[in-house]
Amino acid sequence: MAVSTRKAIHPPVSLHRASRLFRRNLLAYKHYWIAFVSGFFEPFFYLVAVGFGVGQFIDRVPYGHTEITYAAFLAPGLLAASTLNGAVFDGFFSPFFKLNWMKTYEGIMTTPVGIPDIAIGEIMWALMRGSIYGLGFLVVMLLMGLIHSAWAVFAVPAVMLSATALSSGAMILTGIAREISSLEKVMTLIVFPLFLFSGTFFPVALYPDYLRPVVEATPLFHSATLLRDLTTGQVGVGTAWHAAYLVTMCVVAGTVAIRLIRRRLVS
Amino acid sequence: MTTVTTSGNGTPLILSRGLTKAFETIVAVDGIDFEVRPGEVFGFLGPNGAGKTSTMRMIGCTSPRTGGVLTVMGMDPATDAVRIKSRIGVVPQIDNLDIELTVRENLEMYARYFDVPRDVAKGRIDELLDFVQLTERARDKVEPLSGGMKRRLTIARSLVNQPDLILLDEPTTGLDPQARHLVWDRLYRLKQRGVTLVITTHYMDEAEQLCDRLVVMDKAKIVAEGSPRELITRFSTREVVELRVADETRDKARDLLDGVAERIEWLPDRVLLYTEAGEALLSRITDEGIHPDSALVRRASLEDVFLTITGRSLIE
Amino acid sequence: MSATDIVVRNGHVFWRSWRASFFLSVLSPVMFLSAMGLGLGSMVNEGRTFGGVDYLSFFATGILASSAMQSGVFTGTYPIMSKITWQKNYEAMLASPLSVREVFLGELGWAAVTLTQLAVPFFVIMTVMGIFHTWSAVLAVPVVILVGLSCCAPVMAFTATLQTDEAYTWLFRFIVTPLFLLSGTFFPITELPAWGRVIAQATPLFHGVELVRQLTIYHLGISALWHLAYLFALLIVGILAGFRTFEKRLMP
Repeated sequence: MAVSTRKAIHPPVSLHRASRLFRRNLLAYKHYWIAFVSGFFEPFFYLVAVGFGVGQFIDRVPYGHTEITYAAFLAPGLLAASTLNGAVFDGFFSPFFKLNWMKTYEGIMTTPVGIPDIAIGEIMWALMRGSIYGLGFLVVMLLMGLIHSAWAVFAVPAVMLSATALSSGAMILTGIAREISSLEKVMTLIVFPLFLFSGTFFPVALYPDYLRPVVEATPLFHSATLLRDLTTGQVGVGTAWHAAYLVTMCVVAGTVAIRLIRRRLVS
Repeated sequence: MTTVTTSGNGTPLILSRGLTKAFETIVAVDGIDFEVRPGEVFGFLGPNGAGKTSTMRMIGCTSPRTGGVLTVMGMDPATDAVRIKSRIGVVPQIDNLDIELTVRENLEMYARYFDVPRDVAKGRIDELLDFVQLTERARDKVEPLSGGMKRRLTIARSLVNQPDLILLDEPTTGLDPQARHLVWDRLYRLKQRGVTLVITTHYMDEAEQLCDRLVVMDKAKIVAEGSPRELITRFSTREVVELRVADETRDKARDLLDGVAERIEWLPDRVLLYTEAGEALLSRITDEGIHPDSALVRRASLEDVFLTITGRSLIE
Repeated sequence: MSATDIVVRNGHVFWRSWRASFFLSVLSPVMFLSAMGLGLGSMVNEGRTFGGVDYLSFFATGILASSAMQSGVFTGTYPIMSKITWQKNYEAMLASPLSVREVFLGELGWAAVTLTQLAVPFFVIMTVMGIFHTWSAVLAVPVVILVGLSCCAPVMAFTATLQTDEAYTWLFRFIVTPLFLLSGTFFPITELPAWGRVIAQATPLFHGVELVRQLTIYHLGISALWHLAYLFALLIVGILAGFRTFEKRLMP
């Protein structure tokens, strides 16, 4: 008698069970708090060195209907970039090790916590970490006078949205990558180019016409631009499009990621 | 500690008919039938690759079956995996403890995965740590523990949700003799409390010591079933005489020993003579002028059963 | 067996994956160069020069030196820790007539090979971009390798004292990154406050960057000798420290 292989090895997600993963990470991180805390400093260093250091030699940058200092241009880009870093770490590096080396997820498979719960739980964790870093960076921006609009209040949910979308994307990599050489490839071929070429350091207007659509299709571009619109007050229809892109990415990437990870854990 | 809730009076806890697991290239489990009754210790005995682990994973709802009927506690893993999982405990072949957490934290997290209420969990974890004798190591990280300790921790972990049924896949493989005996002792106590245990193993002594009933698996099929005693009686004589004969005299010994016992098995390094009375046979042989390098008389074991049925030994 | 055997052994391992590794290790700086040099460079004010050259040249020469620094530091961390602590390759090697000092020098030699593999393509790309104006630019390649090695040796020595990689988080987050950002690669250190300048001038990357720039886009001056001396001194100190810590760790 043939039996459907779908069904209850694949139960629906339960936020309640997903939060178990969250709790587990919290417990584990007690032992790694240095990495947790120090993650905050990197974008700050970049802001000082590039935003202010190099920014001295740059005139005001036209943006939307106004002109802003280079530091004010760069800061939201760095905010988005730091969300990306957190998302890659919590959505890819860490789950990669748990899945392939430490067999942590295998140990959970015999409990009622299922695979969608695991994936969502990890994303929840990434969301929390990304949001904390983001919030911290926003405060720094405020103190350095780089926030020019009350719209910036929405930057907080925007950071959360970014973190969720980017970590869902990162989890797709978790479902695919099998060897440790993948780590370097991901950093060099995906994360690093995104970091450099998403309108973070300079406006996309500087790109030649044939390259611009490529950049505008990438997730970090939307994240950075969304945040920049909000912190500079240049909010318009485009801003909504960026947010919509990120929401779609959450849903699509999340579904694909769960499917891929399931294939890795269930045979 | 673990209270027993049977699913009725003698209705099987696990029922399997024609259970099959097929991968793209091989068939790991080829249509097996078995029943596990509440409160017993049931064993799957067989060499590596026989299909024992695949069967366990299907019972534990971590691997979907490709054919046949399987019910666990009256439920079908294909539709009720979550409910089944919440009532069983699993001790896998290779430890998958959470190495980023301490001993105690591993048990705490498991309690949460199973939604054991916090106040209840705390007391239960203390009891479990005591049961597996790991109380002094509660605050340690998992990695530095010895293999035997990790296995005991995994056993404790499998008991966190007070399961009715525990699946143990090769529970003492890779452990030194002292650790093995400690694990057996703990399992025996669980058995005394009425917990149903399903064990896979390729160690005949483990199967004989622990199991009430067992099935012998080879190459994805079940080739025999019954209690250890029944199997030995059915497939083997009561005693075995083991001889080591020098290579030069082997051929001569072959002629001389022909027909002297009910069955003779020639292994690369020794000869096994199956008989009801070993000492008598041995003295007869020496009387006839055969002088082996060494000889011993022993009771027949499940290893002999396996040898008889399949022509191969359990351990390659 | 000798130090060259270490180089050869690493070469075997490397050769199996050289294409991927080569591609990746050259790709990063090239990407960085285009993003920052071109992108940022085009935003810098018209007519603003840096010691007489445009931002792209200024930045590119800085990146050349700092990539070597980062590569050198990295080579001294995880790969070495892996061989000492996790996979214990050295234990096996030392069962042969190889001495600990030879192991250290062999690894350093291999680091030099890695650095060359980074520096040369980078150099070629920059030449093609027309950044160099003097013949002395060719000397930038060995100088850059020296920068990498003088950062690698002390880090290797440090690694031999570690049991876990926890310290690396501190190293990368709080030493390498600020060094990278604030040693004159992105902007001249004259823009730093006085106390910042003093600190920067005590660090290796500053000297590396200055020396490379003097060789390639500025003019060689007497200070070049000081920069060179600093780098050599750091390398020697690193080697001596490495001999000590490696011996202590591998032959207790």
